[in-house]
Amino acid sequence: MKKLTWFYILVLCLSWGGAFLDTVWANDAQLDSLHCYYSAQIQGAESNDTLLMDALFAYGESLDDIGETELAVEQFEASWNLAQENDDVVRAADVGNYLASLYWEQGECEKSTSFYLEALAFAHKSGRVGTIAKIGMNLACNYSLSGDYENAITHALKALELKESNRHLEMICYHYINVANIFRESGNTVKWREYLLKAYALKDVEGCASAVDVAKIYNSLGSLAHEQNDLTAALGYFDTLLMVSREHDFQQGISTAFANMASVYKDLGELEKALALTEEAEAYLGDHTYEHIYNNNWKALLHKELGSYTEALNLVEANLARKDIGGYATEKLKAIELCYELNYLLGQYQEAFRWNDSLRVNESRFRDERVRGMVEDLETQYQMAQKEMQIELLEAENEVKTQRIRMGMGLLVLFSVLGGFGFYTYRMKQQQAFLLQTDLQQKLLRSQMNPHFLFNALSSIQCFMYQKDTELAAGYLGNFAALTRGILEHSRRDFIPLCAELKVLENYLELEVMRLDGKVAYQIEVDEQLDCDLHLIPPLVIQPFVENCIKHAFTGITYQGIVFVRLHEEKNHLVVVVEDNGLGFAKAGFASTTEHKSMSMAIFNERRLILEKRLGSPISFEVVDLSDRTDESSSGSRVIIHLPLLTNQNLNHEKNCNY
Amino acid sequence: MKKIVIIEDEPRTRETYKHLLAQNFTELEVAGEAGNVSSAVALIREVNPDIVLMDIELEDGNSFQLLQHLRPYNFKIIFITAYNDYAIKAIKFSAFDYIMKPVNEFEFTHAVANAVQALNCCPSSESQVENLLDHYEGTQKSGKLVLRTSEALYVIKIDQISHCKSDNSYTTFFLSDKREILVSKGMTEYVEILEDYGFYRPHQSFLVNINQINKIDKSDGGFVVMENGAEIPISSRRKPSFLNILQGL
Repeated sequence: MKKLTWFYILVLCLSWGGAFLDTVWANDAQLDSLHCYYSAQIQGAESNDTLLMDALFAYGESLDDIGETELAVEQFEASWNLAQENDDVVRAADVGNYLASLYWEQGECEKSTSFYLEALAFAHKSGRVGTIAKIGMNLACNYSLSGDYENAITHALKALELKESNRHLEMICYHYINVANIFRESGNTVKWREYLLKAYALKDVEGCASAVDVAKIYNSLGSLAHEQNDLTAALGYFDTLLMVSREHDFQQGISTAFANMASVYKDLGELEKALALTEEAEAYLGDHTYEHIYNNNWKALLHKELGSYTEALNLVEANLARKDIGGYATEKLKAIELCYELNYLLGQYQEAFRWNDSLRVNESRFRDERVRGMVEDLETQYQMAQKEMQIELLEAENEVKTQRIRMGMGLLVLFSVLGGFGFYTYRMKQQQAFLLQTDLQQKLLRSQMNPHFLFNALSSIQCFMYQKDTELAAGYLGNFAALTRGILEHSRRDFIPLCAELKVLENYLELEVMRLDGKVAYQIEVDEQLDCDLHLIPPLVIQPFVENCIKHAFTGITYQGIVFVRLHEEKNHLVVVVEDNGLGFAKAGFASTTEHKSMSMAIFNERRLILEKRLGSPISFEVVDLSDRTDESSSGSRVIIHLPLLTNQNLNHEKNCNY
Repeated sequence: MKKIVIIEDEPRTRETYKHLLAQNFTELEVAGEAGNVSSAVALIREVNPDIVLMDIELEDGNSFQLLQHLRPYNFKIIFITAYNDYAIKAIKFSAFDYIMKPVNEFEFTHAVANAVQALNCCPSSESQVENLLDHYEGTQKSGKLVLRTSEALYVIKIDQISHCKSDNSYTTFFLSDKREILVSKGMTEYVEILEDYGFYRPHQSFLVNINQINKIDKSDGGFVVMENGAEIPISSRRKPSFLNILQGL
């Protein structure tokens, strides 16, 4: 059970050139201003029918754009009448085509088909190849959906033949994909695949496919993969469909992608997930009749699988009660089938029997072997007649073909990579916590890679080079390399040995001392009780606090500034003290936020929350301002950080308990 | 002897500048150096230099605050920074010279030589520094752009630019009043800063003001027709995203 496709947007796409800016304008405008604008145009054109028709057409188009379908139909009908009075075959064909597509959208299938037929007649009179083929193909789609495959394939092949014989490649993918879908509907997988691949091969050639066509191609590829039970590939294709549709803000595509993913998950046995995806699909559902009928059928099937038969039955009965369901043969058949099964499951055998009868009648009508055979015969005839021309066409496509071979492989690879990636990201989404962690790692990396510090450090090293002090330059370059390497390596990991963290800190401080020309010194003291190789610490926890000190504590002092870093163990906790003999927070303006500083503090806090949750014990830090002290020698500030004392062993233990 | 002053909070980097100046510019005398805003103000008032090398990030603030104190001034400025996206944008909008740390000797000497040359011909413009500060403080979103040519300094309103055309390392600005201004800077310099003001590149060599588009002509692969009548090609690869942007308006 897969959602078929969508139609007629092509009609709008083809006309964008002229009316493009008007459309942009209309999106934002209220209905009123639209009315004002076009009333003036319509009145202005009073004496000139051609101008009037164009104005009505543009008005109708704008109304359609903002979803005012009924009003739009009125405008097109007026334009249609005028075109017939004036025997203006070009406009009559265009207006008739548009009008037919609007009727179809409203579920008036028969009216739609008769308008296509009239428009097609006008198009033949006008002799424009593109228009004849376009309308013919639209008509074929109508026939196909209502189950009349014989007429559908006749018109579709005629349209295709016309395009190919005139080497009219514009929007050719629309035609291939529709022929593919007709074969799909009539149950001919081989031909479905053949025409789908034709569309796929040409989709990147300029002008051959609209964005909507590309979306349709991916949808069809996905459904084909699903049909052939390659569920992973199917999910990949639907994910691509989702991306393409999102990129073009194409609601129907998004909805279809979710719905079809749901159907794959149903086959994977993940019914809850399928239901969730279906609900997501519903959020993007448009006004189109077909979409609603499809959605009801699909939900009924899911409910059936989940055992809520009554709910399912209500949905199908609602579908069968619609007067416009006759236009969608496959869906009608599906609904009847479900109705039979559900009644049977609910023990309402008499009802079930009645539906079973009706099922057989419909089935034989729509899935007649004879019809299917005829469809195939017609296609073979077309193939024979086309054979010569096909060769020519292939030659004409030579350019395209080289591209196809070269790009085909590349695209396939790229495409499977993309599909795989899409699936991968999708999985990632389920693991929100994991993602958060990655995100944090990146932020951490960025905050430690303070570009201002790094480039200034390099600038100082450059000075030694100009002064030809190669020993010092080489030494500091070594520090620089060790620091950047440490940051790059450690930011990926959750915990690192204490000694590794201290090494990075030391390299960082060496560079700061060099940069500040000895104005600041540092001292790192580690209590003998601590085993630096054994005990672990989350990476890059201490450095932001030290950086804060150096940036703010020593501005304008005249004595030797010193940063102390002391580590010791206390009640099974690791205590880190960062202290300076500078101005103290009050004077240094610790509260004032420079962008980088506030960022590293924010990241520290974010990490703290995650670590606390993971380790199940609190991480705290307190700030002490020492500048109030009367004893001047011990002015400055002190930050005290308490972390749980970690080793590989107790981390493993924690893992075993929590996961 | 022309006087140059160095404002830079990293002592070692000052040494580098002094070294490079001594090697390349015998006609320049380093008349003083400072590392924070307050001492820099005093130094510049006292020395009255011809050229100032100015690091953007200083110990107690930045060089834009310093300039605010010194206005009006009549020296040439070369900005230097290790990294500051925001400040560099403002500098680009105002056609000042800037170099990045660690300095590259060629860029450094080129910028100083330019400043020396400009001493004799072009007076400093108050509107140039005003534009710099406006952009830095972000008060003027519908702002102006300073264009510097060999003979003049133009201050133009960004919304009066119709489009730009790139020609290797030159860029021509076409204004809505049909004026044309040719500057000797590559268009990439402007792409980044003008994107925030609704400019887009429909083609590698053109940057258009989306607010000044009159229509899109679909013939011949597509053209943008500007309000001043100019026709600009749309490259096929950029077409979809360009149309997307227009549709989002």
